[in-house]
Amino acid sequence: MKKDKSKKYDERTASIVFVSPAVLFLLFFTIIPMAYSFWMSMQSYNMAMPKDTVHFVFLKNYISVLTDKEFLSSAAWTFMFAIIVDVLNIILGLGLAMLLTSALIEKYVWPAKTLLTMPMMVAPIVTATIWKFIFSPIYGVLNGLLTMWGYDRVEWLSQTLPARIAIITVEIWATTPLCMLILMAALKTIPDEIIEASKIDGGNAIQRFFYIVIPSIRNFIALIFTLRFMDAIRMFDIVYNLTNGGPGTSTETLASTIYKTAFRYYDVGKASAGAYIFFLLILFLSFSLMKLLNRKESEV
Amino acid sequence: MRRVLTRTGMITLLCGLGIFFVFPLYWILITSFKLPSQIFVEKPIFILDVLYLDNYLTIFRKSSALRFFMNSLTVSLSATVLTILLATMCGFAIARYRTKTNKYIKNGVLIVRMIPAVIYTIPYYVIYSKIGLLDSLLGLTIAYINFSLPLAIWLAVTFFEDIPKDIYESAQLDGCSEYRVYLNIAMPLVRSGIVVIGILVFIGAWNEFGLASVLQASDLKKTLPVGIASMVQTHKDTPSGSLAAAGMIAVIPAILLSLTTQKYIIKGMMAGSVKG
Repeated sequence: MKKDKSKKYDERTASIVFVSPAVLFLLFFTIIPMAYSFWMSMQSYNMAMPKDTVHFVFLKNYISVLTDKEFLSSAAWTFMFAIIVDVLNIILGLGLAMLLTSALIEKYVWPAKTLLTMPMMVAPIVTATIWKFIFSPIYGVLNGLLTMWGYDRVEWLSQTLPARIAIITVEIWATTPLCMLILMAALKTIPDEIIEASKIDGGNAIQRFFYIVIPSIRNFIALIFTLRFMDAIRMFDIVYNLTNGGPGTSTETLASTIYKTAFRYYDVGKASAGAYIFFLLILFLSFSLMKLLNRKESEV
Repeated sequence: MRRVLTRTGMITLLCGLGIFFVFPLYWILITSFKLPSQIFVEKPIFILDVLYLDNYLTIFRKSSALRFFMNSLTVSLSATVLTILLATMCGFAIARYRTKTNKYIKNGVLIVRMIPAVIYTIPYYVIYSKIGLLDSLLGLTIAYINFSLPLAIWLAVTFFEDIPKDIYESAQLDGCSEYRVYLNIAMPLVRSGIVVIGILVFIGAWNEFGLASVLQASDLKKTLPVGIASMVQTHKDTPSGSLAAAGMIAVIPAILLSLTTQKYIIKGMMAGSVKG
């Protein structure tokens, strides 16, 4: 009995000893900066102005963000971007995964998989640099090819629609390999017997795809949808380095708008308010998507 | 006959998609070996007969590329090691001792994980400028540990939860202290999990740009992504060839890692995804 008590005590101390370094770290470097950011979001605080101009304005920054046309249009574009990318990610990723798991071309699978996954880990800044070479108006390889084939040059990065297409293309390039890998793992979870059985029953490939493949891997698809959506709405590095939000502010995302409000216009009060709104939006979306995902899982 | 047709169709499709995913990397690779006169041409040159190495020599001689590389390596490696230490300790405790506090910590970590990086950037800049951590590798390392800790703890919890309970119990019966259980029993069992965490943290820190571009102002303290970005911005001084060479240097470690550790990365991504 006594021994049991001391064991409990040991575990208690051990638990505290193990947990506290990480918790203290997060407390210092997450909670304090977040609290400080919250305080700043209620101040009229511009880093370019003298210190004594900082003063309390309560919700004024929040109102000014929510009525700011640029902020709202960047939010709309960010969502459009995230949904388009997400859908294309899944279509392309699934297509590639099915090609690579097909028995018909087994020989080529290993080299193809190796090559196809290379973009996955490339730093966003390098991705932006590479594609800047490709999209460059005169010496860019894409326009070079277009003129060689007799088409007109496209000003890829200085017109709204082409610039948006360019950003989506680059994001697809950088993120589809991961989706492909996850979906390849997903396809391997479908038992061969089910596929064989449907072949014997005379189902064709299209029926098999919609009635067997998709339902069997829908949890994985939902998983990718969530992962990629939450990731894509945070888009910053590539936009900032490829188009810098241009032309005008047409490719500016939520994150890049907040970043520029703080570090180009030095309005850290308004930027902090924008950042908090962004965070609340992400929290709300994450929990809604998780709920949806869990419901789907319990239905299966 | 039909089989052959499907097969040819599939291979064609694969090649088409393959070109889209592989060509950009091929393009930066050959651009890094081109003469300026081969880059600024309206008819693109796809195959080189001579490799021109000056681009690489230039970035090492004229710019601080080597310094950027070393800074990136220092920051990424220290952040990785420290994150693994903190996250495995915390994850071990959460998985092993189901106390109320630990449950709160687990849920707290989940919420902290959703904080977008841009929300940190502003207070970090203001606070660091007040306490003198601006433009220092230490400050950046702290920030990266903080960025990766929530995901790392979450992953560590899932890995430690896979260890059967009776292993701990028999260790206790043998008189192992809790600290030895962690170090000598639990840690070796989650080795592959630690690799997963390590890779994700390392790549995350190695590739990070937004925060570093705000915190690291001087050439002495810049990381590789920030260094490359500043080369792009002062494009007149940095010829495209050298820029491509700098890009290649940043890409190589990441590609090597992704080729050798693919299965760990997928494992991490799947385990890290939140299922409520």
